[in-house]
Amino acid sequence: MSMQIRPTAAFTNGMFKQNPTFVQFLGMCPTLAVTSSVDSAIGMGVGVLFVLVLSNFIISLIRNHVPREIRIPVYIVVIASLVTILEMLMKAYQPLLAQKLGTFLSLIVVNCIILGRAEAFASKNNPFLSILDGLGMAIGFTGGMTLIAIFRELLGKGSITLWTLSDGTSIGITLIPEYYQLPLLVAPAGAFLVFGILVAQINKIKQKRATMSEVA
Amino acid sequence: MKLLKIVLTLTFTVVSLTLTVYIVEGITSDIINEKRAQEIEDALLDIFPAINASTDEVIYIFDDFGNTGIMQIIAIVNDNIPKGYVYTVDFTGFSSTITYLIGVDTTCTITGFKVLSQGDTPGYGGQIADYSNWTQFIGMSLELAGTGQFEGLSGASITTGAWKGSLSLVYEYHLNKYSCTPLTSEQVLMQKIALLTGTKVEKYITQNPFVAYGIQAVYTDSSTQLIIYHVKFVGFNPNDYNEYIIAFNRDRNQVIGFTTIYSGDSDDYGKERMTNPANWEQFQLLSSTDLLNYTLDGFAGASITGSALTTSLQNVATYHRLEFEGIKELSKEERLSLYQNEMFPNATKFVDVTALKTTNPIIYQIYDVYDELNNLLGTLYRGITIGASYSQITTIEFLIGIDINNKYTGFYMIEDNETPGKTADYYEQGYSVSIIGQSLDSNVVLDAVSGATTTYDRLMAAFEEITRYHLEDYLDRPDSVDVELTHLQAAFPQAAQFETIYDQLPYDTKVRNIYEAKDESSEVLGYVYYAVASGVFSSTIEYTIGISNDATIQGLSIVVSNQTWSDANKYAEYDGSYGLVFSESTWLNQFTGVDIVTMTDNPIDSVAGVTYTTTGMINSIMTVTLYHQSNLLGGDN
Repeated sequence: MSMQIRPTAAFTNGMFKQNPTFVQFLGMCPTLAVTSSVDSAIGMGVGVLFVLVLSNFIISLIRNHVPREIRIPVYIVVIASLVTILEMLMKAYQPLLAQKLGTFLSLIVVNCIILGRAEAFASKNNPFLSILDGLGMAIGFTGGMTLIAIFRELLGKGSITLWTLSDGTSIGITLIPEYYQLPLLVAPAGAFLVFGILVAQINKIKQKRATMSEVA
Repeated sequence: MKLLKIVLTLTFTVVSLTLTVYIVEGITSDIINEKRAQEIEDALLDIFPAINASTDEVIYIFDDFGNTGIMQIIAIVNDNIPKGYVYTVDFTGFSSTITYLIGVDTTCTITGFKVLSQGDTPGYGGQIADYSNWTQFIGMSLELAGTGQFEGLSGASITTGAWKGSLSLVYEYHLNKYSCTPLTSEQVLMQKIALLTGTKVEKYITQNPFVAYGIQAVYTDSSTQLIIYHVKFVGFNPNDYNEYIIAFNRDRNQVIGFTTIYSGDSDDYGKERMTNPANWEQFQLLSSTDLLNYTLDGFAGASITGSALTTSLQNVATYHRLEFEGIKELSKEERLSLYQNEMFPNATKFVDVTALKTTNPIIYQIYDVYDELNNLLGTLYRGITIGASYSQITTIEFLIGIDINNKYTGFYMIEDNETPGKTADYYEQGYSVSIIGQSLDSNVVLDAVSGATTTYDRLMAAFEEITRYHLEDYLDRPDSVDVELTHLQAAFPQAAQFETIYDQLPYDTKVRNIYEAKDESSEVLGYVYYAVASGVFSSTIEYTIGISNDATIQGLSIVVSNQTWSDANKYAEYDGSYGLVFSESTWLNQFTGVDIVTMTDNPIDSVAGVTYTTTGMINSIMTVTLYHQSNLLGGDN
């Protein structure tokens, strides 16, 4: 008999306890590749949210009707179709973002988080909980990427770009003059560096909390 | 039943999702196409700035463009006369289809470039979307772009290769369809300069001539903040040349770009090194001073071309400093000439006597210095010593002047390859002037230069060694040795009187005296040398030989010789045909009447059986005639 997951737990698990970026280390490729600016990270996060929520919802809806033997191919077809739809919508309505995300937009189809949540959660839970799970996971993923991007863009380019409008103008703020910037951080190596430091800090906090709870 | 369920489930899933995608595509494709068309229309002015919206007609050409990747061509026409074309082109990069626009006018000059869409990896192939990668094309010939002569994307070789391939196809299509006039070499040069500097340039009128520096032309931008040199030099291949452009900024006199235009050297060696852009980057931001002392990198295996390029760059730097920094750079030879004259202002002749001395590795050359009356003024030492660097062997060349009273007349550096910038103070005109006039035995020390103390130590050691050498080992010239009149007369029978002049001429260890041979009215008819032949069979031979003003040998007389050929037929194969007493040998008579200028080409033969003696004599006479040709040929010197 499976335990019923509470809606709040389904929603918040992905944000903190099971955060895909810092805890499960899922979806590393886009996490490291598109976090050179905050708007790209948010854009990728929104794209993942769109696909994850809808794929979780659809898979949850059909979970009882799909024979076990073909569940993975069916999930992949669903996810691939959603990614194709996302690509078309982005090219039509957010062409600059689509151009910025480049190949990583198409690569959402192979993002471990999507297929992982379809198999681990949506295929076993009702649509409502699956939507909450997808939302939580996508928000956690977006939050993780955005946090990395804030450090990389702020320290590497001196700015934080929240969004790029269709005419190419950016909404954001420049805080650090060029002389004090660390361009290494916006290079691929900088992504690993920032990611590593953040993971170390999060693990340190988790370890401290675990020690405190043991003492208590 | 289960199989049916699987089939039905898969069918339903695929059909329903395909339908959904189809519906979404139906909604978005028009929007995407509209946006693309709008984007192209908006970009037209950027891609083809000469377009006039009110008078020009825009014609969209959709044709079968084959496998060129060309999607459409927009012809800009005015009164049915084409003004230019804008191509929309697709090509496959590393991981996506890349679409770009390129405008070309009727002279096949690119008017603009823009990437409309791409999905390549950010930071790699995705750099093609950066505006900075588009501006290089503006003003560039389609021929250059079509032959791949533009900056690609760093770290994205596959996308760059595909990009160059695509532009090559566009170039070929355009060439076939609309034709292009090939660029002249001057136009290619101008475009390469524009590519290097990002601006158009014009010829700069210089104050100083530059041809001697290998510079073909000097260019500048409209604000004269950039100076670009077009330079040629010959590398390994003596039948062809290398050609490059190098740009300096005016405010800091630093190199801001280098590009090879042409290399006629060997494909896999000099040419490969010259045309490899990785080898050009090393010059970036080097100052003209740095360039003077620069050690070239990346030319292993093509050292001759590398060495020639180094010299060429030094020439350019020297000229740049002269023309734009007001610094007159002296070459090694100029320094040598200038400083020897400064040390001996009254000198008219510097005679290299190195071969006559027993020197040591520090002494490269020794010159005896004479004035116009052939009075000895002193000695000039050209020294060379190992420098300070521990990572490679460096050398320092310098001059020390010493007068006949054993007092210094100066110390000057003439060249070194020490760490750039370290030895500049040693070249100062005022360096060590304090030693001038000081005696050699007064333990003079040179001035030290902070920051180059090891160089100083080496220089000081060499200075002390040359001082010691001059005091202890540099032999004074021996006095001239007189010879009996009969031998002078025998050497020059037409002369009535003889007067020694050897003190006024350079010393040679093989010559004991030199006489002017005069007639009764004291007119000089020629000269008589009293010389010594060594390397003969049993001892040296002293002899006199007369040479007339028309370079003909007048006679030969043996002064001292204990050579005897009486036993030569016992120990060797001498047949005795020239006599058995060497001093009276008829073989010696062969020299009389010989033209010394052509003597080298038609030598007197040695004699079988007495080859040591005869060869030694021939060599000695050759030495005397060479001395004569260097110092006295043509009459009274």
